[in-house]
Amino acid sequence: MFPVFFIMLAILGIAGIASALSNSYKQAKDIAIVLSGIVLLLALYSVFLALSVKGFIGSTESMAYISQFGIYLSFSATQFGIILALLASIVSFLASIAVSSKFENSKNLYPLIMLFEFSAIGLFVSANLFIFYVFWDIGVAASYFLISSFGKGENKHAANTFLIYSIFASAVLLFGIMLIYFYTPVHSFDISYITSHSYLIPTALQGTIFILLFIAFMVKMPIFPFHSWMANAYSEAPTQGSMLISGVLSKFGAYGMLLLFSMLTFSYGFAKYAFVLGSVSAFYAAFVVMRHKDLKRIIAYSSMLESGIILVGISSLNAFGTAGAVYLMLAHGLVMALMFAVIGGIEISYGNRNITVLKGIVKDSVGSAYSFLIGTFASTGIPLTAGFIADVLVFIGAINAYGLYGAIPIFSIMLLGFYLYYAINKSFLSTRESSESIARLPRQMAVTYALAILAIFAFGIFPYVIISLFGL
Amino acid sequence: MLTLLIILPLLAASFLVLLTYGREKYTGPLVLAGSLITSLMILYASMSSFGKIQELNWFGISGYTIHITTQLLPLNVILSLLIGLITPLIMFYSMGYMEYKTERPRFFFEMGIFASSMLLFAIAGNFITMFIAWEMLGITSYLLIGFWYKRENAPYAARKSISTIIIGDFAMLAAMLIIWSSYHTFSFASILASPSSLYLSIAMFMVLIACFTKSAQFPFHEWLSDAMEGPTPVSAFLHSSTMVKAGVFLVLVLFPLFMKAGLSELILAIGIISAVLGASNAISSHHVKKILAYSTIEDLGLMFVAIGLHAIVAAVLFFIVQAFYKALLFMSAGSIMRANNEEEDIYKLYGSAKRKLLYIPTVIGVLSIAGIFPLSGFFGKAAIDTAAASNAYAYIILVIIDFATSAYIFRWLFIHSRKPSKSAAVDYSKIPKSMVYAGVIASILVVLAAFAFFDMGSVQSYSDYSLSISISVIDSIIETAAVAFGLVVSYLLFMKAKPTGEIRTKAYYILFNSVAINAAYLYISKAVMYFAEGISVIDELIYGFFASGGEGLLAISDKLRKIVTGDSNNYLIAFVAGIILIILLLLV
Repeated sequence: MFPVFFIMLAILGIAGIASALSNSYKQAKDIAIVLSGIVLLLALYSVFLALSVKGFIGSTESMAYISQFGIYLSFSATQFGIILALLASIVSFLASIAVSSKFENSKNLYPLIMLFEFSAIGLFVSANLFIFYVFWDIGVAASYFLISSFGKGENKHAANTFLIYSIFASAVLLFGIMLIYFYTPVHSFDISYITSHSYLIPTALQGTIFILLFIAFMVKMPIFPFHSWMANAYSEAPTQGSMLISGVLSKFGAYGMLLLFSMLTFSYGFAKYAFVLGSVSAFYAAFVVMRHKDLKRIIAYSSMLESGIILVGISSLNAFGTAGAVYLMLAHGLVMALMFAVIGGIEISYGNRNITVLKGIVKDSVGSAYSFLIGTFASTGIPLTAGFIADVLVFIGAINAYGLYGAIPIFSIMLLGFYLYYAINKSFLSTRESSESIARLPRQMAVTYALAILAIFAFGIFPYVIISLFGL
Repeated sequence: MLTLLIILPLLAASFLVLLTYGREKYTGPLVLAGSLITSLMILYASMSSFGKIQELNWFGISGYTIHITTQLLPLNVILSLLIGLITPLIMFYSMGYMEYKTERPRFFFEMGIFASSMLLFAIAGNFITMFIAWEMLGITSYLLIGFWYKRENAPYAARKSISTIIIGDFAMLAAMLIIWSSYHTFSFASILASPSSLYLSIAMFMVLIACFTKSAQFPFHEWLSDAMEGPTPVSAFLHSSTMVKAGVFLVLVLFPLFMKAGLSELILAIGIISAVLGASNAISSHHVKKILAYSTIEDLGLMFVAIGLHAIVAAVLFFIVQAFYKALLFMSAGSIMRANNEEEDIYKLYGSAKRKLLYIPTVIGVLSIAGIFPLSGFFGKAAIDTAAASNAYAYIILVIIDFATSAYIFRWLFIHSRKPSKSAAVDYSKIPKSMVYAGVIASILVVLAAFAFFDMGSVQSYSDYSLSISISVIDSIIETAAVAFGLVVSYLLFMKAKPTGEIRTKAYYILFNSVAINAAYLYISKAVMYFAEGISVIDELIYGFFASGGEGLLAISDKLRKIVTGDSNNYLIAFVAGIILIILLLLV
């Protein structure tokens, strides 16, 4: 069969190098847009293959790498992986179109975006833990440089905090992966092999491995109490960086969590603690968000809330919860891309993103104001946006698994809604006073908003396209 | 015919409106045409698909399918026809009302989307379809209340409404998913036919909370009076005749489930409390539209009282008649405000008696809401009174409410029909024609709505509820006496005495208790904010904890690196000391 994942990764590699070698900012951006557009089409094609060709799901593309240790460059099409690869390609495509105010002429941004997309797609379709880890760390490196060289204000500090947390997570992850490798009977990294043979690992050791990997993924999602890197990293990164880190990098952790729960049988005993942790994290984020005035931090904590809900879905360990968690990853990635793009647009138009200072955005930036409103609808799970389908599936799963307790985390989204609507009525939809607009919204940003909104509604109105994948 | 199609013309017209920026004179007629086609289709569907339940697959997962279900059972037909009558009327009224051209497309877009979602709500046959419509009602209401971005209080009022309503939205979401987990279906018909399940009472309690938030019942009722910040057609459409009745409608549709859950006493109690609060605030408010808003809270409370007394058909009757007279009164209020330069304080409104074409429909509306035979309001109220005859407490309170209703609505009428003083700039000729004629049409509907009572038998025969409706003569006499007494009191206090609105007695503050309720809301939100403050302190502590961990490591490295001095003497000493230590260890 046509090796679609190798081709996607090869194109992204070429895109990264080509945009790094290009002469001008515009050239680099054009290369990034065109090539990530092609990758997006390929990602859509892989979804199409999964729907139409029997046997595509579960097929593997493999190439020998360090074969004497059983290490292959192998990619497999899993139903969750290709959905998240689609998400990564959409968000990266949007990030290549978007512009941010300060780095208008820095062409080095685009190689990093391409490198990030390379790592994300590689990670989501990886078939073994070795290359999972490799792509994981490439993603960390790309994000680190996005924050530290293109952010503003306290960006160096934020990037260092991010790096320290990430290195900690990587170290723990590597340790866990090594333990799995040495304690599986044939010393394998292969995810499907580990999934089917994990019962052979002694229970006590499985517990250790599980906790190690759980902590690593918790840091990345992020889940309380390992979230302190998040608010700084999201708020100090450039617009494109925030879109990618919140939209895709946090899904590294969520996807890893999903793999972990399906890989090790230990998860059956541990799931209820994960459920509690996810719920606590969601409520914690919902309350912390109420004391923040910086739009980026508000959205950062709302992202942490959704990560908590994703963990709730994963921990319910049934078809609904898992499908809902994946759908929420998709929906939430798109919403975050939209929200951070809008905040980037507001920053260009007003030079500020503090809701106590911003007033009457709807007067001069109609597009930004209504896009933020739609983003709010989507993050509070209004029907016909993708978030609604995700919420329904996640909470059906949680209620099936945990009874009435499963319904409790729903109300964390309500708390978020209170504050988002407060922000909207304070700064967006009220023109009694209005801040002075310093620049018009660039056309690229308007295109970014429109595409993100289109995707949010498309996945909300036609959920059966994605959901029919889960039945395969 | 596919029932879902009836929404299509209105929905299409609403989206087409967005193309009319720059050609605003087509905006109103476009939506009006769409809503008229929809009305005809409703009429056709209510005959051709009557009693049918239609399912469309939306998506399927692990062996279950989630449907978009529509049903046209008697209640659904009633609400659809109601919407089919009122939507074109309101659109017609709005064509005159919206004088600012640039705002017109946005206004008609939001109104059209609202009307479409209301229609979807009316024909919804399962929880998921109902919830889609329910949420769309919430957000369109939010956008329309905050429509005037320039007004000082409009954004605040919009936020207040959405903050109250989303409590209900998430309660509803939780309830519907809990119900799904027990029954593995969202369909109303299947759930109503199934036996009771484990979590049914808690789920229905949450549904009830959702209905109370949407239908502005105690303790969630205060958003409705603030919602009057929206344009008047919005008040006439959403916040009196359609959207706020979504909660009542859902309770009517799912009534057997509430019975099984044992919640009818709660419905009765909350209904009575809300009706009393609504009436007392209506009698003391000074705001021309807020009086009607509090009156709406009272009306909705009365519907819940009827449901709580298991007088389902009486509730349905009141549900129908209330829509017409309340829409009419809001339209009149909008016209009177327009003639008085958008003044809202009722004591500064004058001269509504001058324009007969406006005044006569208004009086018909007032007589109907007061409950005077043979207008439609009388039948609604007398039916509820008759149903309450077995419950002495409820009956006494209802009679007092009848008296209060008559008192405040005649106060409302008497005050703004005073002769204008010379200084006041009152111009009744500048009211657009469509606003006046819409009121005339509405008043005809108010009169005709009285026939609904005589047609309620047909509802019963189709309905699942074998409950009857009757109006006893004694109860009608008591009701009429209370209304007449209210009229007399109102005449003496507000017509004869020529009040100026400056009186602030203790009784006023007891009656006008919305201030206290708003203060309570404020305390709750402050408490939440203090809690959030505490959590964010913890957040900083966690950050500090990890940061100080990092600093600790740095400090250790600071200490350790001092060992590496670069001085060869130091190294030599360490080397020798180490060798001595090793030798000692070996010897021991």
